[in-house]
Amino acid sequence: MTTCIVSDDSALARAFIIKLLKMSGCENVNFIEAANGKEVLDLCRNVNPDYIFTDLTMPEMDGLTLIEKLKENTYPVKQIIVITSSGNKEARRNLDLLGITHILTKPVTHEQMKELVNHLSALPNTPQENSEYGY
Amino acid sequence: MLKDQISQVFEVMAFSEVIAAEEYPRHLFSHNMTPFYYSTIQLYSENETAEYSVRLMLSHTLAPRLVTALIPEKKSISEQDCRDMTGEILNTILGNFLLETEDEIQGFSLTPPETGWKNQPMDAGKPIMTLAYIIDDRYPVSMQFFNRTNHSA
Repeated sequence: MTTCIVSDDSALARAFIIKLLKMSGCENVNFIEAANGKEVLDLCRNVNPDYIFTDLTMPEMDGLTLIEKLKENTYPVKQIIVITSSGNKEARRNLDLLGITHILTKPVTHEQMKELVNHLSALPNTPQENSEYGY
Repeated sequence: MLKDQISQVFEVMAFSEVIAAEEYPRHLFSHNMTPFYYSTIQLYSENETAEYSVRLMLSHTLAPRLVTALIPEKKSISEQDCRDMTGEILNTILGNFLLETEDEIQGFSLTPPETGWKNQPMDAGKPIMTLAYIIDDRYPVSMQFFNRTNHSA
């Protein structure tokens, strides 16, 4: 079963993202919620997530720091998707340097999520450690 | 441009129509809505030369409606849900506004929102700007901007 971590400091935002993913055809997916980057890292020690959806602005550990830590520890996550309202040029540049190519800007619509899910479904089914696709 | 973001966020997130308060019959709207949910975000320049505080206030009857609009299948709505919603809306409005204006306004960042509920007016100084709206022909929403430059610790 596919495992997906959804990280945002807002419980409502997490519930909405999961709802959009389910509406976009993500059935038989184990969704796990986290409120910040530190919780995501703690989860990754026990769970092997296939996908991580994360906000950037979170307390304790923000999204950029989380992604840096995930890369340092070479967790075999297939894809990391950033969902944020604060995707300015500098943030995008930093994400690009980290190899993050999937970024959605809040408020996310069903159409945008469906397009993302369709795109992810078409990607090769391999971990992204040394992939040309990056995350 | 900020007003466009406010309309867009409410329309996309909550399928709600936004009307500027000045276009609304004045006697039907008051800035002194209580009780209300609020969220506050600090907007600060990365070179620490300027800091602003932005507060969004939603009437206590509007917030649960917005939560239901976002997630209709949610069976019960808590105070935390309403506070989350208020925080998410403000975060999204300001984030999108900074994105749209990043060629003109550079180097500003946002803090995570602080949220709460009040049944009496807040006293936080005099706003430099107040934007007031009516949602769905009935519910008041207010957004206030405060200059905190040289006031932060």
